[in-house]
Amino acid sequence: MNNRLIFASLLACSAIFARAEKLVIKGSDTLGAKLVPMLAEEYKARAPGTTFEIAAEGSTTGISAIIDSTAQIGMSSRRARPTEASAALAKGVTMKPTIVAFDGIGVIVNAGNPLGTLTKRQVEQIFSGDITDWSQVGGAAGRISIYTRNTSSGTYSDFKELAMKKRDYAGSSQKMAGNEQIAAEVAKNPNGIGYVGLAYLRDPGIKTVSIDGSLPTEESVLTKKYPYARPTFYYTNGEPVGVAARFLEFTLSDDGQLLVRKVGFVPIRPLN
Amino acid sequence: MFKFTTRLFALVVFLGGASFALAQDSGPLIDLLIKKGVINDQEAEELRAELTKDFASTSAGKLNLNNSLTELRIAGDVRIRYESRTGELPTGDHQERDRFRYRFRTGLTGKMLNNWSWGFRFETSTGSRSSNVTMGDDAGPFAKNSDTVNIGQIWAKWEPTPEFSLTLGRMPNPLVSTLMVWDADINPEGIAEKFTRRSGKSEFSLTAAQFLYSAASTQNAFGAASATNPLKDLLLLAWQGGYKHYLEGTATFFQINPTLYTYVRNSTQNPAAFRGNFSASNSALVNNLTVIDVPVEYNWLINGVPARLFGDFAINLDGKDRATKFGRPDLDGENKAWQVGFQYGRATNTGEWDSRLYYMSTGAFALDPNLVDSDLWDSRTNMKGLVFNANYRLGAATQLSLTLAHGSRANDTLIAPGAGDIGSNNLLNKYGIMQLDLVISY
Repeated sequence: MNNRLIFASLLACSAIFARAEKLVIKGSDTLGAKLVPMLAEEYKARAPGTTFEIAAEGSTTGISAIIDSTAQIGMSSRRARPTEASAALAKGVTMKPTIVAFDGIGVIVNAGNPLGTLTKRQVEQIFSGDITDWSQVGGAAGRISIYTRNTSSGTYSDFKELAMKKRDYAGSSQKMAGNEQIAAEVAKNPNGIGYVGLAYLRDPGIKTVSIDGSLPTEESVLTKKYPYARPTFYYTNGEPVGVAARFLEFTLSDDGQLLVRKVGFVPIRPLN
Repeated sequence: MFKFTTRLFALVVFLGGASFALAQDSGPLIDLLIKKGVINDQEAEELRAELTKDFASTSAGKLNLNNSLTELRIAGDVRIRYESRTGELPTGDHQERDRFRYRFRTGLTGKMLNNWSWGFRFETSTGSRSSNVTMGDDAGPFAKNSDTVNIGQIWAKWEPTPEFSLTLGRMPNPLVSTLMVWDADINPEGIAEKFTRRSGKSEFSLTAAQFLYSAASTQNAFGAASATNPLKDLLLLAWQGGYKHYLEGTATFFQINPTLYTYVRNSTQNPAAFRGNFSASNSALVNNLTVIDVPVEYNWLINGVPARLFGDFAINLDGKDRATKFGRPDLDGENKAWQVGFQYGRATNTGEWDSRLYYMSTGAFALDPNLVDSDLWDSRTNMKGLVFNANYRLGAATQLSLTLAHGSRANDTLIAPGAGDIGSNNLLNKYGIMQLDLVISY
């Protein structure tokens, strides 16, 4: 009788425990501001009892969280650096990246700016400070205000690598916490320029400029015709297990990828 | 999957001919494999992660260098020397100084984006004209009192165009010169600007330097100015023109670098620098020095072996005043220094050697005794004599060198002023030095 009671109690506890599964996700603002919370809500609707702790403070924090084992999934819009891989190795952590969506980094200007296109060279010169006035690139005269992400952002380093030949940003550039802040500042400032992920290109008051004639679209990103396209990742410690594995599986499923598209990212494969 | 990744990894390494240190360069190859449909994006990411992990386990993978850095260079040398100096006074009194010495120099230079660069070098010894440490010259057996390392160079450079550079800090001497005027160990502090232009077979250059020769701890200090409480910083200014003309290839050329040196604020307003009573006991002073120096050389090949004829002539335009302040206005002709010599060979590659022989004479009032070479004439002026130097390249990074010099006082009615390593007696009549060096450079 006593044994039966103990067994029943254990079952009840494990059921409660299972329902209270918690998934800690940290990292990229690009992924963590919109896409992952939406995926989490949808996942919770399918797996009631799952709780999420999502902190979107930049890709660096996501990769660090995997290295320090303070999150099960690290969101990142950039690849792990060798020094991060080295730190992970030292702690016995295997950094495993899984592409969950593609993104294009769109260059945005104020909606009132008459300029519609820039070359890759001009983008490099503007963001590195070689060009300081819109008149130097065929626009109306006005001192260019540059808005970038902060240094913990994967987009910050990705844009340097993709668009600036790894040069430093202009000293006058203003660093913003997230994509939304950049879009908001550019919308307010007629001389503003910045960059945001695909999901933020529809924000009011801004417009996207084409780069060498190419705009960031699902097609141009998937075919890699758009020059500032990149994959985005979930990083895990080796093969994910438990709730992390199930959430990753959901993210990669057709339903998950439809959400990816809905938010404004590019799915990892063509969808119907 | 693992086997597939492993195969691809082997392919990348094979195709790239890459070591792990080059794994980061495999990006374009991976992109090509995706484009060709050999692998998909996810497989490519796993491959990249594998390569990054392997690269991370190497020494290079653990370095975290600033993105603005485009080049980082580590360089230096170790020199082990046996040296023998001899000196003789007019009385026949004789002194020898035999020493085993070492020199260690190591530094980093970095090139940055936007045409900036920087460098620093650690050197043994605290002396301005020497990086040598004498072995056994300590407070006790094998003590380390003299085995100190100091910052020998630390500089920042901006080169906005290939033709112009601005250097600030404690820098390698930017001026073309000879040991007659500048000891090679001196790294002057201040600012230097250089402009060079090549036109056909001719190369022109202009170099200006503003060196902080001696800084006042405060300017216009409270109370009366004195040697220990000077009013202003003392500056050494230099203007150098350069002309190099290539006659055939790069081995046959002529070069001349006329230079003007002046000292600013070495006047009565700056007692620390102005030592009007230039005397036997106060010999290394810089009053009344306005020096024109003209180093010149001609390089050519003799049966394919590099040869070089070189010379240097310097004159102190204020030599008469300097002689007068010393108390010998009749010796105003001692305001000239010169050298002429010949070099054969060039020790660049393993097994190669070179040698040079030259004569050097330095008038007592010709040059700044604080700058002249500390070895050849023992940091002194009013000396003349013959110098022989030969180098043999033992290997790619190792060299043997021999230097022999023998000099005597140029004018017996004057002292031979200077700091002096063989002893501070300015009546030195004869001087000799032999140095045998083993140098390892990296």
